[in-house]
Amino acid sequence: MNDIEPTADHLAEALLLVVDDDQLVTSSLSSFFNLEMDLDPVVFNNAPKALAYLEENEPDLIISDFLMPEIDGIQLLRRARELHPEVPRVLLTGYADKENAIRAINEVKLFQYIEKPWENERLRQVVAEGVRRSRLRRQVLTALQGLDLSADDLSRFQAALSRLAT
Amino acid sequence: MSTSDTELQQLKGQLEAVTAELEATRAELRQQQELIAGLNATCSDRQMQVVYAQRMASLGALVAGITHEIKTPIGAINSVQDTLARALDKLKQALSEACPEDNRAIAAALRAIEDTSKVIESASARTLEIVRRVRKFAHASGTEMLSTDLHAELDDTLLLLHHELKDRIEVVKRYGDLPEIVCNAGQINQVFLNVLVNASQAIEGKGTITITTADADRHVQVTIEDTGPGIPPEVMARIFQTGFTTKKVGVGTGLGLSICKQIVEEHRGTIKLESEPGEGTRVTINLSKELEPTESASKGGGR
Repeated sequence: MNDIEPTADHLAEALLLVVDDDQLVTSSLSSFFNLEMDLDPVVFNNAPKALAYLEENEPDLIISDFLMPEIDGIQLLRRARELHPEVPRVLLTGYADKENAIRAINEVKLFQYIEKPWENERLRQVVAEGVRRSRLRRQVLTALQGLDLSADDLSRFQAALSRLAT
Repeated sequence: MSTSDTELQQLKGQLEAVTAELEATRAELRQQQELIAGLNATCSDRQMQVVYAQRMASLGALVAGITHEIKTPIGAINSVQDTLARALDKLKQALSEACPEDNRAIAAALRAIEDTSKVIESASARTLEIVRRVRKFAHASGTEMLSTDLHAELDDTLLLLHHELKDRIEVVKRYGDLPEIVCNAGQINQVFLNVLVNASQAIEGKGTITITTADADRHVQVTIEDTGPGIPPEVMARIFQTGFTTKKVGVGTGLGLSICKQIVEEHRGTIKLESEPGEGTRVTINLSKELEPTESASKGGGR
């Protein structure tokens, strides 16, 4: 429980979803995450396919491009929020437009907003922090479930005790 | 005899009166004619300015589109170069552990990778910087009045002129201690660009452009001096006139300085040209420090 630092082990197991219609971008990101974070992201160059994936899976973090054909980044992240409200969402966009960014942040409650061209180092920090949050939340949930179980056990014991007493 | 004399005298008087009247009407007509000519000239000035503004706007949209498209691939190059450099470091470490003894072939290959990676790094950094600065110019049609560092704007403009200036013209910067001022940075950039292009085109062969900035009470002052041949008085007299150009067809539009004047005056400033033939030209631009910033980005119609 005390181990909340994002260790390499944590990241290696992390499920990171990356969505950008441009393969140049997803390949660059994958190479970096692979090398520096020992992390193999799940990549989609097609937003509808990414959405289908999200219906079935809960990643630790989602990174999405903004301008994409068919479904844009905000639509994608909005749906992601409905499906997995607690998963941190990162918008990666070349659209240096403050109004759109603010709209996105308000609408889909972004964890971070990163402008293209991005800096690898900043991306690493954002991903590490986002994954850390996801992990913490899961640990807390598991611990809570454990507590629930103990509470069940306790009431069972109590019932057994009272049966014995009578 | 005497009666006809008087009559003649009277007729003469009448004739003179009519002549004077005619004269007055003619003068009035001439005045109106001049007024119409003036209005016509203003009209065609406005027309030219509108055409010019439209051309600049479509050029701006084109450039904004292109730079947006470039941003993604150059961003990818920038990122993979960083990854490549990191991978190289790891590879070197691993290799030195795996085969500690010197291996010339490996060392040479690593060296080559390292050197080329550095070239990619500076090339992509430079491209990114150009894209950033060009984008700023592409957005010059905005109407926002924001607090602006004029030195940064001057440097951006100089970068765009790099290929025009490089081996031919030395740029001397005498930047003073300047506060940020509220202005429409895109428009002020256009003024700097126009004046600097004029200066560089004026210089035949090698020469110097000196940029001096100073804080001057309620204004800031930017002075741009060139070592060109100077401006003859007959040209100087018409220099801010719309449509007036000394440049070849296709080089000058004759709108540069007239629009500069308009922009500067909209910033409650002044633009002044001084020149002695053979001595070069000095352009002095004063901009007010007391303009109000626009509150929201979406405010339109500043002009």
